[in-house]
Amino acid sequence: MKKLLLIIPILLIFTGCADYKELNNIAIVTGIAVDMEDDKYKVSILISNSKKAQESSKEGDAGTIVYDGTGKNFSMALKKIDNRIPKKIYLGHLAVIIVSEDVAKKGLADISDYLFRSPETTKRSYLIMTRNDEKASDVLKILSPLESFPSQNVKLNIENANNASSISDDMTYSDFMETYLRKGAEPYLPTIKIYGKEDKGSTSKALESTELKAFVGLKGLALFKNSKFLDYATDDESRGINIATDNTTEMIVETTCDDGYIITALSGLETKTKIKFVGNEPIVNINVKADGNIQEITCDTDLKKQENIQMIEEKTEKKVKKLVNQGIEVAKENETDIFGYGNLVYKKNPKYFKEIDDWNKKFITLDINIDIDVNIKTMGATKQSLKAAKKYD
Amino acid sequence: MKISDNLEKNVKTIQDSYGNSGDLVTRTITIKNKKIAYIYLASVSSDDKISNFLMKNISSFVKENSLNLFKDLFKRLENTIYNSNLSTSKTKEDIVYKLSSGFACIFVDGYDEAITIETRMQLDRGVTESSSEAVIRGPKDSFTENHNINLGLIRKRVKDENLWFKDIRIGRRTKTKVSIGYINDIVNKKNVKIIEERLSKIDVDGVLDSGYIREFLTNKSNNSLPNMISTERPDLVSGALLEGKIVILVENSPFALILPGLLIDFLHNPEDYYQKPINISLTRILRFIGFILTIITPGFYIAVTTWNQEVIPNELLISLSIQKSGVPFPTALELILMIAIFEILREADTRMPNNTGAAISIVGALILGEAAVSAGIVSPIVIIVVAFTSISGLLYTDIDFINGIRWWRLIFIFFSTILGFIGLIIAFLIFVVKLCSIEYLNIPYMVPSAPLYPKMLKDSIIRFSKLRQKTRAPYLTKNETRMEEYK
Repeated sequence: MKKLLLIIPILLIFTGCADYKELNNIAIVTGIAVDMEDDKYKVSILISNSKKAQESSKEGDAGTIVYDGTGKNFSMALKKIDNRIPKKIYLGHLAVIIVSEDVAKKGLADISDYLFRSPETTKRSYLIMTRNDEKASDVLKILSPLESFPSQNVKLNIENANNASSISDDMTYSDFMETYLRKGAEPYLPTIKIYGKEDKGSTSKALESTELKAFVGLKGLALFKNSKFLDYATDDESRGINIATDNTTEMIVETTCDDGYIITALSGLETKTKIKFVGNEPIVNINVKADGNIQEITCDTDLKKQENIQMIEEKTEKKVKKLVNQGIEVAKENETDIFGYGNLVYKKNPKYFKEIDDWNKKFITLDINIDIDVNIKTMGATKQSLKAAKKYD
Repeated sequence: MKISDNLEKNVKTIQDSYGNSGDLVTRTITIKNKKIAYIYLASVSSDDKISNFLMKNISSFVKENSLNLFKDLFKRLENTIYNSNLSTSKTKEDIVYKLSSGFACIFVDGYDEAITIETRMQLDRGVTESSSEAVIRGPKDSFTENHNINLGLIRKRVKDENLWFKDIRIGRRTKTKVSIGYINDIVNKKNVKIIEERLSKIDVDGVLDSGYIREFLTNKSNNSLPNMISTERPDLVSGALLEGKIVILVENSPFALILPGLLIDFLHNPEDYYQKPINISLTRILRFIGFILTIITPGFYIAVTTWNQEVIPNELLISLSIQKSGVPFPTALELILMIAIFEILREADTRMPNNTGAAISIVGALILGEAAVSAGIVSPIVIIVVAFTSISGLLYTDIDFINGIRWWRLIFIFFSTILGFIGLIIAFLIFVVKLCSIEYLNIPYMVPSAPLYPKMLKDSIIRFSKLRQKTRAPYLTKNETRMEEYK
């Protein structure tokens, strides 16, 4: 018994409390932004638990503040920030990582080593890029009237990216790096755009009026090769890419008729990709299936007739095929296989894949067959459009 | 020491033994030149019984001639007084014991025997409702301080002739009567022997309550959870007897002891058998969850907020962080402080008399918590955690069990503070291993879960209908058939 009493204090002295952190001693970082400044990395962090003036215990009343620091690499930049904050930086709840275009052009593999090596950071934070000359740190500074923190705003925006416009996709940090490491696949990233002026949106005055002075919104995808940024895809091309990679389940397709528009809402979008070897060459077969719902129709087609509905289905299928083709074209132009077909070929026939030196060049000459099948199942609450009702009933 | 046949000497011996106490009454009667003396203690014997039954009989008797006055007197009393304990005694120790128990002693000059006849006075409250165990649906009578009444409350429920009570006297000066009760053809006889042996080895000055003999009955284990059930309810005791358990009743104590007490018994309530099984299953699951939560929650809170913050969702972490700013103490100290205050309030509440104490505990706890938060001593979430812990600890009926849980709570807090989540798991392992290693009367504490008796699981956490339980517990008894097939 006495030996036991002796061992316990010795254990306590030697093991210590290395990871013990009290809640009021940590600065909870929910967003990181990386910019380039004079060939050095400028890292800005968004701290989400600074106190506001009045005492309050709810999360909604917390204040947020952005600190930044510059350094030649990630660790040095973070060290600079460390010197400016009285609390310990805690990266366990990181929600978003925003990079600017310059950093993306330089390559994302370098700055990610710190984040992967540290056991404390979470690998499930979302990675997103800003366009052209916009600064990544500006995204962290714009307050939103709907969410408590800017980082929360961006994160929920990304998570709901599968909505009607479906021009964007969510990409977590670990997803990006996995795709980068995969044989025969290249990564891509969603992008975010700042509307309005940043300095107008970063004070609490911005939340007091009903007119939004500045806000952020998602835009099309950005194509990468070897973790270096190449080019942006337009909205339509992004839609096509999202369909081809089976990333969306809902989409809106607009087609024209004689004197109006037909808008079909596709739901349950499913894409299946299969690789077939004909002779010695691989051929890609894409099969897209969707259920359609006529959301808005301003023509005077008589929807009671079955052939009209079939006509609408065909028009929608043609439009979707056009979108997918556009997506594939932009990838071929930039010589990156963001769809991952190389990986599928590798899985099916590893010998063939190993003989090819540069898969991206081979990707340009790939034969891709697209097959779309849209089934219009519902038409909403009314059958005929008003124009058609007046004409035919 | 034997008594002599000289009447005055006998009377003087008894009076000297009691130091001429004020409540010792001696009366000497002379009937036809024969002296008869009767002695009793006025504090425990009832005067009316003595004067009405005893003296009338004796005085009306001695009018006749007799050769052996003693024997005739004894025969006469035997034939006329029906409802009392009547016997003879030859030693002073026996007479003194009987006098203190409320008997009256009759000495006849020239004979060295004394007649002892029971004339006990009722010195207790009648059978009332239990003050420590609340009953919603079920019989409300509870044990009292009168030994015979306690035995009667059990006997009238279990009318089997196999219900035996063995008497032992413990305590040099209190000479308390202790009865061991069991049903003969169900119980494991070895256990009865072990208990008898242990009880007969006790050599103390006095036994004032059943709690005194608890320590002698257990092994030298330093476990904080009790392994005997102490209860005031005769229906619980009768149920335990029917299962094959042993009951110990101590004179002057309204609490009976049931051996062996298994962990699962503390999570049960006799009312469970009087309500619908499907509803009771939910209640029991709630009690079981409460048992685990009341031990783990403070430790879990410490582990999650100081070591492993990744576990909490984002928004909650930020709320907690804001609440904690400005509080000077480390988390463990906050928790221990608030738990100590709650325990003090709870203890004070039980000591206060009814008319002053009812509202103070609740109001005190809430206001103290609110005031402490406003003063910046603790953060608001700690009040919630501690209140939840304390209240779920009060789900159980046995006060020793509730007090035993406290130690485990502290052990969990200690390990969580120094090692976080891993410490929590270590403490949990220690808890489970310790509980599984306890054994009492060769029955493990965690039965029927460990070792596993699948048939008995029907009544452990989820209760199946009684129609499905046909056997008794094999770890308690060898006589397993309980009832015939339900036709």
